[in-house]
Amino acid sequence: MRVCHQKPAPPNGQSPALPRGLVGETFAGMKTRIIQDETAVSAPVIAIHNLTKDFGTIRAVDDLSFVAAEGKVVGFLGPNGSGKTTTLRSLVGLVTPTSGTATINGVLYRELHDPLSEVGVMLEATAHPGRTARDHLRVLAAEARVPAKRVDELLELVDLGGAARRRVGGFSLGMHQRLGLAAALMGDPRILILDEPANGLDPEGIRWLRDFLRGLASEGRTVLLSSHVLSEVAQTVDEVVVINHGRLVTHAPLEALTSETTRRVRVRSPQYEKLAEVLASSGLTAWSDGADALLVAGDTQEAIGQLAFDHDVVLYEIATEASNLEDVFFELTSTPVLEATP
Amino acid sequence: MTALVRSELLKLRTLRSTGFVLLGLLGIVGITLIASISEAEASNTPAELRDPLLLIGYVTALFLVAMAANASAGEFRHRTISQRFLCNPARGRVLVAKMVTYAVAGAIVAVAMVGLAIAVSDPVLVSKDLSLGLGGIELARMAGGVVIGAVVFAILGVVVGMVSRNPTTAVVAIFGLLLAELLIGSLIGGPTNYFPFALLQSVLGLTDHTPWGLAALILAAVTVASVVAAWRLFLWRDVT
Repeated sequence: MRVCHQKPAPPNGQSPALPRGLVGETFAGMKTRIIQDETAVSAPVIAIHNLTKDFGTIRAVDDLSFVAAEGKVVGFLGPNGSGKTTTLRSLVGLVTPTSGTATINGVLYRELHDPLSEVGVMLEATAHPGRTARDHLRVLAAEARVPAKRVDELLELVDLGGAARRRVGGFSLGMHQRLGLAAALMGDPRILILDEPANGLDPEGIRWLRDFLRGLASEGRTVLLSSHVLSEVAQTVDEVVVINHGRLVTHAPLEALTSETTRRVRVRSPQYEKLAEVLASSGLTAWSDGADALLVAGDTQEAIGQLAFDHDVVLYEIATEASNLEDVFFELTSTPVLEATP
Repeated sequence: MTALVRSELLKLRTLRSTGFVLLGLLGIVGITLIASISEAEASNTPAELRDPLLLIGYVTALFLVAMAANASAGEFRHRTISQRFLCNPARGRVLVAKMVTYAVAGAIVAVAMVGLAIAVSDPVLVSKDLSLGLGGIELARMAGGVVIGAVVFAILGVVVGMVSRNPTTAVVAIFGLLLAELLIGSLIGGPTNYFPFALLQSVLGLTDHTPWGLAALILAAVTVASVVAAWRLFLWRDVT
Protein backbone atom coordinates (compact mmCIF):
# COMPACT_ATOMS: atom_id res chain seq x y z
CA MET A 1 0.00 0.00 0.00
CA ARG A 2 1.19 3.49 -0.68
CA VAL A 3 -0.32 6.63 0.67
CA CYS A 4 0.73 9.70 -1.15
CA HIS A 5 -0.87 13.06 -0.57
CA GLN A 6 0.51 16.50 -0.64
CA LYS A 7 -0.03 18.96 2.07
CA PRO A 8 -2.54 21.66 1.12
CA ALA A 9 -1.12 25.13 0.96
CA PRO A 10 -1.93 27.23 4.02
CA PRO A 11 -4.17 30.27 3.47
CA ASN A 12 -1.33 32.72 3.49
CA GLY A 13 0.38 30.78 0.80
CA GLN A 14 3.39 30.01 2.94
CA SER A 15 4.56 26.58 3.74
CA PRO A 16 5.21 25.94 7.42
CA ALA A 17 7.99 23.63 6.44
CA LEU A 18 10.03 26.35 4.87
CA PRO A 19 13.24 27.36 6.55
CA ARG A 20 13.66 30.76 8.14
CA GLY A 21 14.43 33.48 5.69
CA LEU A 22 12.53 31.88 2.83
CA VAL A 23 9.15 32.66 1.41
CA GLY A 24 6.74 30.33 -0.31
CA GLU A 25 3.88 30.66 -2.76
CA THR A 26 1.30 28.43 -4.32
CA PHE A 27 0.75 27.99 -8.02
CA ALA A 28 -2.39 26.90 -9.82
CA GLY A 29 -4.08 25.60 -6.71
CA MET A 30 -1.62 22.82 -6.08
CA LYS A 31 1.01 22.70 -3.48
CA THR A 32 4.14 23.98 -5.02
CA ARG A 33 6.85 25.91 -3.37
CA ILE A 34 8.80 28.86 -4.57
CA ILE A 35 11.57 29.41 -2.12
CA GLN A 36 13.77 32.38 -2.68
CA ASP A 37 16.76 33.59 -0.84
CA GLU A 38 15.73 37.00 0.45
CA THR A 39 19.20 38.31 -0.23
CA ALA A 40 18.96 37.47 -3.90
CA VAL A 41 18.35 40.63 -5.88
CA SER A 42 19.59 39.61 -9.32
CA ALA A 43 17.29 40.35 -12.22
CA PRO A 44 15.60 37.33 -13.80
CA VAL A 45 17.14 36.58 -17.15
CA ILE A 46 14.95 33.58 -17.84
CA ALA A 47 11.26 33.88 -17.08
CA ILE A 48 8.65 31.22 -17.66
CA HIS A 49 5.18 32.59 -17.05
CA ASN A 50 2.07 30.42 -16.97
CA LEU A 51 3.49 28.29 -19.75
CA THR A 52 1.21 25.60 -21.11
CA LYS A 53 1.89 23.33 -24.07
CA ASP A 54 -0.49 20.73 -25.46
CA PHE A 55 0.45 18.13 -28.05
CA GLY A 56 -2.97 17.04 -29.24
CA THR A 57 -4.71 15.73 -26.15
CA ILE A 58 -1.49 15.42 -24.19
CA ARG A 59 -0.63 18.33 -21.90
CA ALA A 60 3.15 18.33 -21.75
CA VAL A 61 3.54 21.54 -19.75
CA ASP A 62 0.81 22.80 -17.48
CA ASP A 63 0.73 26.40 -16.31
CA LEU A 64 4.39 26.40 -15.40
CA SER A 65 6.03 29.50 -13.96
CA PHE A 66 9.50 30.14 -12.64
CA VAL A 67 12.43 32.48 -13.12
CA ALA A 68 16.17 32.07 -13.21
CA ALA A 69 18.19 34.99 -11.91
CA GLU A 70 21.36 36.37 -13.43
CA GLY A 71 24.52 34.55 -12.46
CA LYS A 72 22.71 31.54 -11.01
CA VAL A 73 23.08 27.93 -11.98
CA VAL A 74 19.59 26.52 -11.89
CA GLY A 75 18.90 22.82 -12.02
CA PHE A 76 15.71 22.06 -13.94
CA LEU A 77 14.67 18.68 -12.71
CA GLY A 78 11.96 16.18 -13.32
CA PRO A 79 11.48 12.58 -14.32
CA ASN A 80 11.56 11.53 -17.94
CA GLY A 81 8.47 12.87 -19.69
CA SER A 82 7.82 15.53 -17.08
CA GLY A 83 7.96 18.37 -19.60
CA LYS A 84 11.50 19.66 -19.16
CA THR A 85 12.52 19.46 -22.78
CA THR A 86 9.23 20.93 -24.00
CA THR A 87 9.70 23.83 -21.59
CA LEU A 88 13.22 24.47 -22.80
CA ARG A 89 12.17 24.20 -26.44
CA SER A 90 9.38 26.68 -25.78
CA LEU A 91 11.91 29.00 -24.18
CA VAL A 92 14.07 29.03 -27.31
CA GLY A 93 11.23 29.21 -29.79
CA LEU A 94 11.43 25.72 -31.24
CA VAL A 95 8.02 24.90 -29.82
CA THR A 96 5.11 27.32 -29.81
CA PRO A 97 3.39 27.42 -26.42
CA THR A 98 -0.33 26.83 -26.27
CA SER A 99 -0.49 29.67 -23.77
CA GLY A 100 1.83 31.62 -21.51
CA THR A 101 5.22 33.06 -22.26
CA ALA A 102 8.85 32.10 -21.96
CA THR A 103 11.30 34.97 -22.20
CA ILE A 104 15.01 35.62 -22.07
CA ASN A 105 16.12 39.02 -20.84
CA GLY A 106 12.50 40.08 -21.06
CA VAL A 107 11.91 39.21 -24.70
CA LEU A 108 10.98 36.15 -26.70
CA TYR A 109 13.93 34.20 -28.08
CA ARG A 110 13.01 35.09 -31.65
CA GLU A 111 13.21 38.78 -30.73
CA LEU A 112 16.83 38.53 -29.59
CA HIS A 113 19.06 40.55 -31.87
CA ASP A 114 21.95 38.11 -31.93
CA PRO A 115 20.68 34.94 -30.24
CA LEU A 116 23.89 32.91 -30.13
CA SER A 117 25.85 35.70 -28.47
CA GLU A 118 23.20 35.98 -25.75
CA VAL A 119 22.08 32.40 -25.24
CA GLY A 120 23.92 29.15 -25.74
CA VAL A 121 21.62 26.21 -26.16
CA MET A 122 22.30 22.51 -26.08
CA LEU A 123 19.05 20.66 -26.44
CA GLU A 124 20.53 17.52 -27.87
CA ALA A 125 24.06 16.75 -28.78
CA THR A 126 23.52 16.21 -32.48
CA ALA A 127 25.58 16.68 -35.56
CA HIS A 128 25.63 15.10 -38.99
CA PRO A 129 27.46 11.79 -38.53
CA GLY A 130 29.34 12.22 -41.80
CA ARG A 131 30.85 15.56 -40.85
CA THR A 132 33.96 16.03 -38.71
CA ALA A 133 33.70 17.77 -35.35
CA ARG A 134 35.66 20.70 -36.70
CA ASP A 135 33.52 21.02 -39.81
CA HIS A 136 30.37 20.79 -37.71
CA LEU A 137 31.51 23.79 -35.69
CA ARG A 138 32.79 25.59 -38.79
CA VAL A 139 29.31 25.40 -40.27
CA LEU A 140 27.85 26.86 -37.11
CA ALA A 141 30.52 29.55 -36.95
CA ALA A 142 29.85 30.58 -40.53
CA GLU A 143 26.14 30.76 -39.83
CA ALA A 144 26.66 32.81 -36.67
CA ARG A 145 29.30 35.02 -38.29
CA VAL A 146 31.81 33.98 -35.66
CA PRO A 147 35.52 34.00 -36.64
CA ALA A 148 36.71 30.53 -37.66
CA LYS A 149 39.53 30.59 -35.07
CA ARG A 150 36.83 30.28 -32.40
CA VAL A 151 36.22 26.73 -33.61
CA ASP A 152 39.65 25.51 -32.58
CA GLU A 153 39.42 27.37 -29.28
CA LEU A 154 36.16 25.62 -28.50
CA LEU A 155 37.45 22.21 -29.49
CA GLU A 156 40.34 22.66 -27.07
CA LEU A 157 38.00 23.99 -24.39
CA VAL A 158 35.88 20.83 -24.45
CA ASP A 159 38.89 18.53 -24.79
CA LEU A 160 38.08 17.53 -28.35
CA GLY A 161 41.17 19.02 -29.97
CA GLY A 162 42.56 15.58 -30.71
CA ALA A 163 39.33 14.43 -32.31
CA ALA A 164 38.69 17.57 -34.34
CA ARG A 165 39.12 15.83 -37.68
CA ARG A 166 37.25 12.67 -36.78
CA ARG A 167 33.76 12.12 -38.14
CA VAL A 168 31.06 12.65 -35.55
CA GLY A 169 29.45 9.32 -36.43
CA GLY A 170 32.31 7.57 -34.65
CA PHE A 171 32.04 9.64 -31.48
CA SER A 172 31.13 8.23 -28.08
CA LEU A 173 28.14 9.70 -26.27
CA GLY A 174 30.47 11.71 -24.06
CA MET A 175 32.21 13.20 -27.08
CA HIS A 176 28.84 14.07 -28.58
CA GLN A 177 27.94 15.90 -25.40
CA ARG A 178 31.22 17.82 -25.45
CA LEU A 179 30.65 18.80 -29.04
CA GLY A 180 27.16 19.96 -28.13
CA LEU A 181 28.62 22.10 -25.36
CA ALA A 182 31.14 23.55 -27.75
CA ALA A 183 28.33 24.47 -30.13
CA ALA A 184 26.39 26.08 -27.29
CA LEU A 185 29.42 28.21 -26.41
CA MET A 186 30.01 29.34 -29.98
CA GLY A 187 28.81 32.91 -29.41
CA ASP A 188 30.37 33.14 -25.93
CA PRO A 189 26.92 33.70 -24.39
CA ARG A 190 26.15 34.83 -20.84
CA ILE A 191 23.19 32.48 -20.62
CA LEU A 192 23.36 28.74 -21.15
CA ILE A 193 20.44 26.39 -21.53
CA LEU A 194 21.51 22.77 -21.39
CA ASP A 195 19.12 19.87 -21.70
CA GLU A 196 20.35 16.73 -19.96
CA PRO A 197 24.02 17.40 -20.71
CA ALA A 198 25.03 14.52 -18.44
CA ASN A 199 22.70 12.06 -20.09
CA GLY A 200 24.50 8.82 -20.77
CA LEU A 201 27.86 10.01 -19.51
CA ASP A 202 30.09 7.68 -17.56
CA PRO A 203 31.30 8.77 -14.10
CA GLU A 204 34.42 10.29 -15.56
CA GLY A 205 32.35 12.24 -18.07
CA ILE A 206 29.99 13.47 -15.37
CA ARG A 207 32.95 14.63 -13.33
CA TRP A 208 34.37 16.43 -16.33
CA LEU A 209 30.99 18.06 -16.99
CA ARG A 210 30.63 19.11 -13.37
CA ASP A 211 34.03 20.80 -13.38
CA PHE A 212 33.27 22.37 -16.73
CA LEU A 213 29.96 23.81 -15.56
CA ARG A 214 31.53 25.02 -12.35
CA GLY A 215 34.03 26.89 -14.47
CA LEU A 216 31.23 28.50 -16.47
CA ALA A 217 29.35 29.41 -13.31
CA SER A 218 32.45 30.97 -11.80
CA GLU A 219 32.51 33.34 -14.76
CA GLY A 220 29.09 34.59 -13.70
CA ARG A 221 27.11 32.97 -16.46
CA THR A 222 23.51 32.03 -15.92
CA VAL A 223 22.95 28.35 -16.53
CA LEU A 224 19.64 26.52 -16.77
CA LEU A 225 20.51 22.87 -16.62
CA SER A 226 17.97 20.10 -16.93
CA SER A 227 18.40 16.62 -15.59
CA HIS A 228 16.30 13.73 -14.39
CA VAL A 229 18.81 12.91 -11.67
CA LEU A 230 19.14 15.40 -8.83
CA SER A 231 22.37 13.99 -7.46
CA GLU A 232 23.94 14.42 -10.90
CA VAL A 233 23.64 18.20 -10.72
CA ALA A 234 23.64 18.70 -6.96
CA GLN A 235 27.26 19.74 -6.83
CA THR A 236 26.81 22.24 -9.61
CA VAL A 237 23.54 24.10 -9.11
CA ASP A 238 22.62 26.98 -6.82
CA GLU A 239 18.92 26.28 -6.92
CA VAL A 240 16.56 23.76 -8.34
CA VAL A 241 13.25 23.88 -10.15
CA VAL A 242 11.47 20.56 -9.94
CA ILE A 243 8.57 19.75 -12.24
CA ASN A 244 6.41 16.70 -12.65
CA HIS A 245 3.59 16.07 -15.11
CA GLY A 246 4.39 19.47 -16.59
CA ARG A 247 3.69 21.29 -13.34
CA LEU A 248 5.94 23.04 -10.90
CA VAL A 249 6.61 20.98 -7.80
CA THR A 250 9.18 23.13 -6.12
CA HIS A 251 11.64 25.94 -6.78
CA ALA A 252 14.20 26.26 -4.03
CA PRO A 253 17.83 26.84 -3.26
CA LEU A 254 19.56 23.51 -3.13
CA GLU A 255 20.42 23.90 0.56
CA ALA A 256 16.80 24.50 1.46
CA LEU A 257 15.73 21.43 -0.41
CA THR A 258 18.34 19.20 1.13
CA SER A 259 18.00 20.56 4.66
CA GLU A 260 14.23 20.61 4.95
CA THR A 261 12.78 18.18 2.51
CA THR A 262 15.19 15.45 3.39
CA ARG A 263 13.75 15.21 6.86
CA ARG A 264 11.36 12.28 7.09
CA VAL A 265 9.79 10.52 10.00
CA ARG A 266 9.59 6.74 10.13
CA VAL A 267 6.60 5.45 12.07
CA ARG A 268 5.77 1.84 12.98
CA SER A 269 2.30 1.00 14.14
CA PRO A 270 0.08 -2.08 14.40
CA GLN A 271 -2.72 0.26 13.24
CA TYR A 272 -0.87 0.96 10.07
CA GLU A 273 -3.86 1.61 7.82
CA LYS A 274 -5.63 3.84 10.32
CA LEU A 275 -2.44 5.84 10.76
CA ALA A 276 -2.17 6.20 7.00
CA GLU A 277 -5.71 7.60 6.84
CA VAL A 278 -5.04 10.01 9.68
CA LEU A 279 -1.89 11.28 8.02
CA ALA A 280 -3.63 11.61 4.69
CA SER A 281 -6.53 13.51 6.20
CA SER A 282 -3.98 15.88 7.75
CA GLY A 283 -2.47 16.45 4.38
CA LEU A 284 0.81 14.74 5.05
CA THR A 285 2.72 12.70 2.52
CA ALA A 286 3.37 9.13 3.57
CA TRP A 287 4.93 6.11 1.94
CA SER A 288 4.77 2.49 2.93
CA ASP A 289 8.11 1.33 4.32
CA GLY A 290 7.77 -2.34 5.13
CA ALA A 291 4.94 -4.37 6.58
CA ASP A 292 3.89 -2.04 9.40
CA ALA A 293 5.84 1.15 8.83
CA LEU A 294 5.34 4.45 7.06
CA LEU A 295 7.72 7.16 6.02
CA VAL A 296 6.11 10.57 6.57
CA ALA A 297 7.27 13.84 5.09
CA GLY A 298 6.15 17.34 5.83
CA ASP A 299 6.07 17.56 9.58
CA THR A 300 8.13 16.91 12.67
CA GLN A 301 8.44 13.78 14.72
CA GLU A 302 6.68 15.53 17.62
CA ALA A 303 3.73 16.68 15.52
CA ILE A 304 3.22 13.26 13.99
CA GLY A 305 3.41 11.62 17.42
CA GLN A 306 0.81 14.05 18.71
CA LEU A 307 -1.39 13.37 15.70
CA ALA A 308 -1.26 9.62 16.34
CA PHE A 309 -2.02 10.15 20.02
CA ASP A 310 -4.99 12.40 19.22
CA HIS A 311 -6.46 9.68 17.00
CA ASP A 312 -5.75 6.82 19.42
CA VAL A 313 -3.20 5.20 17.13
CA VAL A 314 -0.66 2.99 18.88
CA LEU A 315 2.92 3.57 17.82
CA TYR A 316 5.76 1.08 18.21
CA GLU A 317 8.42 3.34 16.88
CA ILE A 318 8.85 6.91 15.68
CA ALA A 319 12.14 8.35 14.49
CA THR A 320 13.41 11.09 12.21
CA GLU A 321 15.43 9.90 9.27
CA ALA A 322 17.63 11.81 6.89
CA SER A 323 17.24 10.88 3.27
CA ASN A 324 19.65 11.36 0.42
CA LEU A 325 19.14 13.50 -2.63
CA GLU A 326 17.74 10.65 -4.64
CA ASP A 327 15.06 10.12 -2.01
CA VAL A 328 14.25 13.83 -2.01
CA PHE A 329 13.87 13.86 -5.74
CA PHE A 330 11.76 10.74 -5.66
CA GLU A 331 9.52 12.21 -2.98
CA LEU A 332 9.06 15.39 -4.93
CA THR A 333 8.32 13.76 -8.24
CA SER A 334 6.51 10.57 -7.34
CA THR A 335 3.47 12.32 -5.91
CA PRO A 336 0.49 12.11 -8.23
CA VAL A 337 -0.23 15.70 -9.09
CA LEU A 338 -3.99 15.23 -9.38
CA GLU A 339 -4.16 14.21 -5.75
CA ALA A 340 -2.36 17.37 -4.86
CA THR A 341 -5.02 19.56 -6.36
CA PRO A 342 -7.61 20.55 -3.74
CA MET B 1 21.68 35.92 -45.68
CA THR B 2 25.18 35.77 -47.13
CA ALA B 3 26.42 34.06 -43.97
CA LEU B 4 23.60 31.57 -44.15
CA VAL B 5 24.25 30.72 -47.77
CA ARG B 6 27.97 30.41 -47.04
CA SER B 7 27.13 28.06 -44.19
CA GLU B 8 24.90 25.97 -46.46
CA LEU B 9 27.62 25.75 -49.08
CA LEU B 10 30.10 24.72 -46.40
CA LYS B 11 27.70 21.99 -45.33
CA LEU B 12 27.62 20.68 -48.87
CA ARG B 13 31.38 20.84 -49.20
CA THR B 14 32.08 19.04 -45.95
CA LEU B 15 30.04 15.92 -46.67
CA ARG B 16 31.35 12.98 -48.62
CA SER B 17 27.87 12.30 -49.97
CA THR B 18 28.11 15.47 -52.07
CA GLY B 19 31.18 14.01 -53.76
CA PHE B 20 29.41 10.72 -54.30
CA VAL B 21 26.50 12.51 -55.99
CA LEU B 22 28.89 14.36 -58.29
CA LEU B 23 30.74 11.15 -59.08
CA GLY B 24 27.43 9.46 -59.83
CA LEU B 25 26.48 12.28 -62.16
CA LEU B 26 29.85 12.10 -63.90
CA GLY B 27 29.33 8.38 -64.32
CA ILE B 28 25.96 8.97 -65.94
CA VAL B 29 27.45 11.65 -68.19
CA GLY B 30 30.17 9.21 -69.24
CA ILE B 31 27.78 6.34 -69.92
CA THR B 32 25.39 8.59 -71.83
CA LEU B 33 28.22 9.99 -73.94
CA ILE B 34 29.64 6.58 -74.78
CA ALA B 35 26.22 5.30 -75.79
CA SER B 36 25.29 8.38 -77.78
CA ILE B 37 28.61 8.72 -79.61
CA SER B 38 28.72 5.06 -80.53
CA GLU B 39 25.26 5.35 -82.08
CA ALA B 40 25.72 8.84 -83.46
CA GLU B 41 25.69 7.73 -87.07
CA ALA B 42 22.12 6.49 -86.65
CA SER B 43 20.93 9.98 -85.81
CA ASN B 44 19.41 11.93 -88.67
CA THR B 45 19.44 15.46 -87.35
CA PRO B 46 21.48 17.66 -85.00
CA ALA B 47 18.42 17.76 -82.72
CA GLU B 48 18.60 13.99 -82.32
CA LEU B 49 22.28 14.29 -81.52
CA ARG B 50 21.47 16.85 -78.88
CA ASP B 51 18.92 14.64 -77.11
CA PRO B 52 21.47 12.71 -75.04
CA LEU B 53 22.86 16.03 -73.80
CA LEU B 54 19.39 17.15 -72.79
CA LEU B 55 18.87 13.81 -71.12
CA ILE B 56 21.93 14.60 -69.00
CA GLY B 57 20.22 17.84 -68.00
CA TYR B 58 17.09 15.89 -67.10
CA VAL B 59 18.97 13.30 -65.02
CA THR B 60 20.92 16.08 -63.32
CA ALA B 61 17.65 17.75 -62.31
CA LEU B 62 16.44 14.42 -60.88
CA PHE B 63 19.67 14.06 -58.90
CA LEU B 64 19.36 17.62 -57.65
CA VAL B 65 15.76 17.30 -56.51
CA ALA B 66 16.58 14.09 -54.65
CA MET B 67 19.77 15.51 -53.15
CA ALA B 68 18.13 18.75 -52.00
CA ALA B 69 15.19 16.86 -50.51
CA ASN B 70 17.45 14.37 -48.77
CA ALA B 71 19.74 17.05 -47.37
CA SER B 72 16.92 19.32 -46.18
CA ALA B 73 14.99 16.49 -44.56
CA GLY B 74 18.27 15.17 -43.17
CA GLU B 75 18.51 18.29 -41.03
CA PHE B 76 15.45 17.02 -39.20
CA ARG B 77 16.61 13.43 -39.14
CA HIS B 78 19.95 14.36 -37.61
CA ARG B 79 18.24 17.07 -35.54
CA THR B 80 20.66 19.71 -36.71
CA ILE B 81 17.68 21.81 -37.75
CA SER B 82 17.42 22.92 -34.12
CA GLN B 83 20.78 24.63 -34.45
CA ARG B 84 19.68 26.28 -37.69
CA PHE B 85 16.55 27.70 -36.08
CA LEU B 86 18.36 28.65 -32.88
CA CYS B 87 20.85 30.65 -34.88
CA ASN B 88 18.12 32.06 -37.12
CA PRO B 89 14.82 32.27 -35.23
CA ALA B 90 13.27 33.80 -38.36
CA ARG B 91 12.88 30.41 -39.98
CA GLY B 92 12.05 31.82 -43.38
CA ARG B 93 15.67 32.90 -43.72
CA VAL B 94 16.79 29.30 -43.30
CA LEU B 95 14.38 28.16 -46.00
CA VAL B 96 15.44 30.94 -48.37
CA ALA B 97 19.15 30.25 -47.76
CA LYS B 98 18.68 26.59 -48.55
CA MET B 99 16.73 27.38 -51.72
CA VAL B 100 19.31 29.91 -52.89
CA THR B 101 22.18 27.55 -52.13
CA TYR B 102 20.73 24.54 -53.87
CA ALA B 103 19.46 26.62 -56.78
CA VAL B 104 22.86 28.22 -57.40
CA ALA B 105 24.84 25.03 -56.78
CA GLY B 106 22.33 23.07 -58.86
CA ALA B 107 22.57 25.49 -61.78
CA ILE B 108 26.38 25.37 -61.70
CA VAL B 109 26.44 21.57 -61.53
CA ALA B 110 23.86 21.17 -64.31
CA VAL B 111 25.64 23.61 -66.63
CA ALA B 112 28.96 21.94 -65.82
CA MET B 113 27.62 18.46 -66.60
CA VAL B 114 25.98 19.44 -69.86
CA GLY B 115 28.95 21.65 -70.75
CA LEU B 116 31.32 18.76 -70.11
CA ALA B 117 29.17 16.50 -72.27
CA ILE B 118 29.24 19.06 -75.10
CA ALA B 119 32.98 19.61 -74.72
CA VAL B 120 33.63 15.88 -75.00
CA SER B 121 31.09 14.91 -77.62
CA ASP B 122 31.40 17.85 -80.02
CA PRO B 123 34.98 17.15 -81.23
CA VAL B 124 34.21 13.44 -81.53
CA LEU B 125 31.08 14.13 -83.57
CA VAL B 126 32.93 16.63 -85.76
CA SER B 127 35.54 13.98 -86.47
CA LYS B 128 32.66 11.82 -87.72
CA ASP B 129 31.37 14.66 -89.91
CA LEU B 130 28.44 15.15 -87.60
CA SER B 131 27.33 18.32 -85.80
CA LEU B 132 25.34 19.15 -82.71
CA GLY B 133 24.14 22.26 -84.50
CA LEU B 134 24.68 24.41 -81.44
CA GLY B 135 24.35 27.88 -82.85
CA GLY B 136 23.87 30.87 -80.58
CA ILE B 137 20.11 30.49 -80.16
CA GLU B 138 20.17 26.73 -79.70
CA LEU B 139 22.98 26.97 -77.18
CA ALA B 140 21.20 29.73 -75.27
CA ARG B 141 17.95 27.79 -75.24
CA MET B 142 19.71 24.63 -74.08
CA ALA B 143 21.58 26.50 -71.35
CA GLY B 144 18.40 28.28 -70.29
CA GLY B 145 16.47 25.02 -70.09
CA VAL B 146 19.21 23.31 -68.12
CA VAL B 147 19.50 26.19 -65.66
CA ILE B 148 15.74 26.59 -65.21
CA GLY B 149 15.27 22.86 -64.75
CA ALA B 150 18.08 22.64 -62.21
CA VAL B 151 16.99 25.70 -60.25
CA VAL B 152 13.30 24.76 -60.14
CA PHE B 153 13.89 21.16 -59.16
CA ALA B 154 16.53 22.04 -56.57
CA ILE B 155 14.09 24.44 -54.94
CA LEU B 156 11.28 21.89 -55.09
CA GLY B 157 13.62 19.38 -53.47
CA VAL B 158 14.30 21.75 -50.58
CA VAL B 159 10.57 22.35 -50.14
CA VAL B 160 9.74 18.63 -50.16
CA GLY B 161 12.52 17.96 -47.65
CA MET B 162 11.48 20.72 -45.27
CA VAL B 163 7.84 19.67 -45.42
CA SER B 164 8.34 15.93 -45.10
CA ARG B 165 11.11 16.18 -42.47
CA ASN B 166 12.16 12.64 -43.35
CA PRO B 167 14.73 11.85 -46.05
CA THR B 168 13.20 8.52 -47.04
CA THR B 169 9.70 9.96 -47.22
CA ALA B 170 10.99 12.90 -49.24
CA VAL B 171 12.85 10.84 -51.82
CA VAL B 172 10.06 8.27 -52.09
CA ALA B 173 7.53 11.07 -52.54
CA ILE B 174 9.55 12.60 -55.38
CA PHE B 175 10.11 9.40 -57.30
CA GLY B 176 6.60 8.21 -56.45
CA LEU B 177 5.32 11.38 -58.10
CA LEU B 178 7.52 10.72 -61.12
CA LEU B 179 6.22 7.16 -61.35
CA ALA B 180 2.62 8.27 -60.88
CA GLU B 181 3.07 10.90 -63.57
CA LEU B 182 4.37 8.28 -66.00
CA LEU B 183 1.56 5.86 -65.18
CA ILE B 184 -1.15 8.48 -65.43
CA GLY B 185 0.45 9.78 -68.60
CA SER B 186 0.25 6.35 -70.17
CA LEU B 187 -3.45 6.19 -69.31
CA ILE B 188 -4.76 9.67 -70.06
CA GLY B 189 -1.97 11.24 -72.07
CA GLY B 190 -2.43 14.95 -72.78
CA PRO B 191 -3.17 16.56 -69.39
CA THR B 192 -0.04 15.06 -67.86
CA ASN B 193 2.00 17.27 -70.17
CA TYR B 194 1.41 19.94 -67.54
CA PHE B 195 2.75 17.80 -64.70
CA PRO B 196 6.15 18.79 -63.25
CA PHE B 197 8.40 16.14 -64.79
CA ALA B 198 6.75 16.48 -68.21
CA LEU B 199 7.18 20.24 -67.98
CA LEU B 200 10.86 19.70 -67.16
CA GLN B 201 11.22 17.74 -70.38
CA SER B 202 9.55 20.54 -72.30
CA VAL B 203 11.76 23.18 -70.71
CA LEU B 204 14.85 21.19 -71.59
CA GLY B 205 13.61 20.62 -75.13
CA LEU B 206 13.41 16.84 -74.79
CA THR B 207 9.77 17.02 -75.84
CA ASP B 208 7.68 19.71 -77.47
CA HIS B 209 4.34 18.86 -75.84
CA THR B 210 4.27 22.22 -74.14
CA PRO B 211 5.87 25.39 -75.52
CA TRP B 212 9.21 26.16 -73.87
CA GLY B 213 8.15 29.50 -72.38
CA LEU B 214 4.81 28.21 -71.13
CA ALA B 215 6.46 25.19 -69.52
CA ALA B 216 8.98 27.44 -67.78
CA LEU B 217 6.21 29.74 -66.62
CA ILE B 218 4.11 26.91 -65.21
CA LEU B 219 7.11 25.36 -63.46
CA ALA B 220 7.94 28.74 -61.94
CA ALA B 221 4.35 29.13 -60.75
CA VAL B 222 4.34 25.63 -59.25
CA THR B 223 7.60 26.40 -57.47
CA VAL B 224 6.38 29.70 -56.07
CA ALA B 225 3.12 28.09 -54.90
CA SER B 226 5.05 25.27 -53.23
CA VAL B 227 7.38 27.67 -51.45
CA VAL B 228 4.50 29.83 -50.22
CA ALA B 229 2.59 26.76 -49.01
CA ALA B 230 5.65 25.39 -47.22
CA TRP B 231 6.34 28.78 -45.65
CA ARG B 232 2.82 29.35 -44.41
CA LEU B 233 1.71 25.84 -43.52
CA PHE B 234 4.77 23.87 -42.51
CA LEU B 235 7.73 26.05 -41.60
CA TRP B 236 6.46 27.01 -38.16
CA ARG B 237 5.59 23.55 -36.95
CA ASP B 238 7.11 22.60 -33.61
CA VAL B 239 10.59 21.14 -33.68
CA THR B 240 10.37 18.46 -31.03
